[in-house]
Amino acid sequence: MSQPLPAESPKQELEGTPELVPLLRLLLLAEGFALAFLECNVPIEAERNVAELRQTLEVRGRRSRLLRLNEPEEDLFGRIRSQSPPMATGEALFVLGFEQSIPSQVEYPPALTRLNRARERFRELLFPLVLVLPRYALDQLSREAPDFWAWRSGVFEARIKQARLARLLTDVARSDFSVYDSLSEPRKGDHLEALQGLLAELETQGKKSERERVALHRRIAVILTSMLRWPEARGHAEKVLKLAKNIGDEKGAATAYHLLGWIAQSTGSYEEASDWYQKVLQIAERHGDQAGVAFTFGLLGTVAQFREAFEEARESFLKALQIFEELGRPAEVAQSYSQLGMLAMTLGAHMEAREWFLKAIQLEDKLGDRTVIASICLGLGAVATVQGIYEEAVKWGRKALTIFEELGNRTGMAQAFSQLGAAEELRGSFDEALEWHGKALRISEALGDRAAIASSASQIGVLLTERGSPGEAVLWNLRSLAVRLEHELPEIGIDLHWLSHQRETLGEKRFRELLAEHVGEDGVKQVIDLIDKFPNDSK
Amino acid sequence: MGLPATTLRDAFNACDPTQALPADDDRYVDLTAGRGDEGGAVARCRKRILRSDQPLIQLFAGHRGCGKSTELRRLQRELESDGYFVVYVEAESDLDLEDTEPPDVLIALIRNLDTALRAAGVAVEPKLLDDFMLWFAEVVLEKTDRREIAAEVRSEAEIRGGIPLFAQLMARFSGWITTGTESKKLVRRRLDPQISQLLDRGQLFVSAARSAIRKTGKKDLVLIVDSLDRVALKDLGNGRTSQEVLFIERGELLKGFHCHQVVTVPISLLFSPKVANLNAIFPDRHLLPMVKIALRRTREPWSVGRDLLVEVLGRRVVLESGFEQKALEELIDASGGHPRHLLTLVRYAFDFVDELPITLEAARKAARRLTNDYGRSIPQHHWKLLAQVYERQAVLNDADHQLMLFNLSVLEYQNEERWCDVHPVVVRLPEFREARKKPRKRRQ
Repeated sequence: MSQPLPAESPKQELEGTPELVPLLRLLLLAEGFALAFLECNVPIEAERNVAELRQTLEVRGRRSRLLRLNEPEEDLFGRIRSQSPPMATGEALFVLGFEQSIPSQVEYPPALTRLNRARERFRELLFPLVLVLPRYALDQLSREAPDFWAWRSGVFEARIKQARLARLLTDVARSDFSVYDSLSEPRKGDHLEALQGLLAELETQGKKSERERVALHRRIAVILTSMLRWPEARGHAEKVLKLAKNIGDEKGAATAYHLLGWIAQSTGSYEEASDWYQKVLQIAERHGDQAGVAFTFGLLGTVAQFREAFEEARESFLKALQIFEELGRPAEVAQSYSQLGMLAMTLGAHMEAREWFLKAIQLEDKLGDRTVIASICLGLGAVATVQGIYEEAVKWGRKALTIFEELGNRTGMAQAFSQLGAAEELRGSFDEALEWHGKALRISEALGDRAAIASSASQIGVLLTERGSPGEAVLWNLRSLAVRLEHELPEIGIDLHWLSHQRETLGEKRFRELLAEHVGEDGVKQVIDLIDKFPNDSK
Repeated sequence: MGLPATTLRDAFNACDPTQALPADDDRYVDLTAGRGDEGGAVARCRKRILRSDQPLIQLFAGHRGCGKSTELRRLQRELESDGYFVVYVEAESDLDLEDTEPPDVLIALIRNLDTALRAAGVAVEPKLLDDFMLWFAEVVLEKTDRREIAAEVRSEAEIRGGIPLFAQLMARFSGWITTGTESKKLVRRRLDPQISQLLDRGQLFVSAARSAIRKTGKKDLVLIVDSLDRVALKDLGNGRTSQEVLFIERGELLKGFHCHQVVTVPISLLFSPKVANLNAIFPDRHLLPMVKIALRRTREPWSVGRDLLVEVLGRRVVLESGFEQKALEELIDASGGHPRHLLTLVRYAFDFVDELPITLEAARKAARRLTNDYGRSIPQHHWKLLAQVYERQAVLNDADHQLMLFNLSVLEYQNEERWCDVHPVVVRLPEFREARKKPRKRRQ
């Protein structure tokens, strides 16, 4: 009964998904009933993860079974018990699709009530049980079936790809700062130079030009943020704040707080961003600027989402929505729907996400702003992608692409290319996906959009790794990592995760050789240090 | 599996957070001294039963997973050795704890009492049971079913000792209550106007049972009702919760049967704004606090409680080879003195090692995972309140603080005085640190 685990680490068998190693250990150790949860927001990835785990268990001589629920099931215990042939002791059972019984907008759904009530009966199961659920469903289960939840032996997350997807989604979110997105880097430079000249001129006029200088500093800061030149942008935002205070221009101060918040948000300092946006909110409230209040709730919701404070994010988006509805602003209402859709999608509540985006697109005729329409199409495409509805994903991606092409919005085009690449990637068509991401990369390079370059390079690295070419992939993730480090972008964890993965696949020697080729001997140590410090539970 | 375990596999299976220990289990550790609870809740409960001439209904509260079931099993064993006939009622197998009403509880008590008496061969006047059954069938069954039951009662009367029809009927009722929503509604609609009849007839049965028990040489009957503390906490509007309705507004009904009872009650109810009403209905109550691992105010480690928790693990896993010393400390720190959380943490830690011992790094990862688990279930508006609980080490008697105790983000401790603290892993969450740092601006 007490056989030790085989000496080799399970890591060797789960090369593709090292984050699943702890779950594999649990399944190998459990002799009777053990309850585990695997959080996975993307159904296709959930299938892949389970397949990989089952294969590994089989290699280890452990049997397993998959219960795929294709419709809501109130009585999970009954369904498990009715498995035919009956489950054998020690055989692991994976359950996919139970989230259909946990609608994201229903409190205490019957399935959770029954789960909580039938907790004792689960002990009759003499085998480990793994429920694979998206984030929202798992959160809801922890709150609404607390006794069942209390029996867990492990909660595991397969979330690194989701983070990438969430980032893709949030790229869709438009902002006040997107006006310079379609300009190439030299054009932005020209604008910047012109504005700086004008500013120098105004500065000679002393106090009487302070109001104009507030506006100029603001525009300069906006251009600098689009060029990812954060410290300079911050300097100009601080000047906006100082000057606005001097002249008692509270609304000017609000724009400075907004800028500072945006810079903090863009560099991953979400708490700080939230604090700045709170100041914007207070000013908007004092001035009775309802649209400003609603807009700021949207910003607060977005940073709350980045902080994974999902409930707070939802509250903020709903407040924004309510105000925009009262004000009769369809474009902003659509944007709030999109934000709620993105949030639902981040939590894996895909049906809810789709509903929000569809509500947004229904306002299409009233919107006027076709950029907003294209962004909503991207959202719908992303939902379809994670749901594995390839045709629909492509349909929405292409619609977005057409609009962006007509508008000449190259940043939007790059986003649409990425979206189409993601659709192909999740379908397993790596070559097509590489082609789309390559197109996105070329536009971003032409524009000098460093964040987008990093994003595309990172995705190409991931694709190459998944295609079984980790050696080729190293360069791409390194390239992305370098940009993200240089510009303090918060997604470095994604590249470090995949580099870590490539390191395990290639072996230490080959990996270091490749690093040395790309970053030199000094760089090797720096990269290895970063990977080792990266918090990865599977290590 | 030999205990304490020496291999990773045995250690993993010895630390099962789903198992309440049976009374004589080798893994049992008396945590009374660590709970800082003079005399211990179980000992007090038992003494009162031994000393009281009149049947007492005592409430027993404690956090989910704090060891209540284990302690109640021990109480059962001790009372049995004192000469009592003890019936242990697992509420969760007889009731729908998401939607429980007093008549459901009373019938669950009758059902379990009947089953226990039959199992022990204690005979109660048959006519009494038949009368109860016919009345009950009249109230809750359709006409055709009633005729069937009446016929079966007659034939059973002829072959007494055959199929326990009463048990069947009770089981059918239990099925209606625990499964179908519609059937439950229907039965309740029929039973509610007859509640005083239920009490009277039920009491006749309980009295007869007590007499029959005494005739066997036993001292008296004790009903221990476990898991009733798990009734769902739902906001019913107008400042009422589902738990308050069951135990306070309709609490008198739960006292309907005159016999010794020990009834588990949600700990959060002791912090209800209506706690004075609860005290008036149920003056006898006991609290099983967490094991104290740190002193109040200074939060300095308290070795008595910590050593006991080490012993809890030591009964399951050989300590020297099972844990790095610092890992043990980290696991106990993160548990907050909550025994089930300690086992959950140990299970989590096993996922991060390929062999024993559990390293400090694995223990930290396990703690981080439990911390993340809490991040899922704490409502946004609780952070500020949690920061206040941390400052005051006390909770207010309101719905939010009740929920904090219910979802274990706040734990209760005791040593001469009762006090509360925020669960140590909640303290590690960034939202909590942020709430402590500065008062957040109120949003619209």
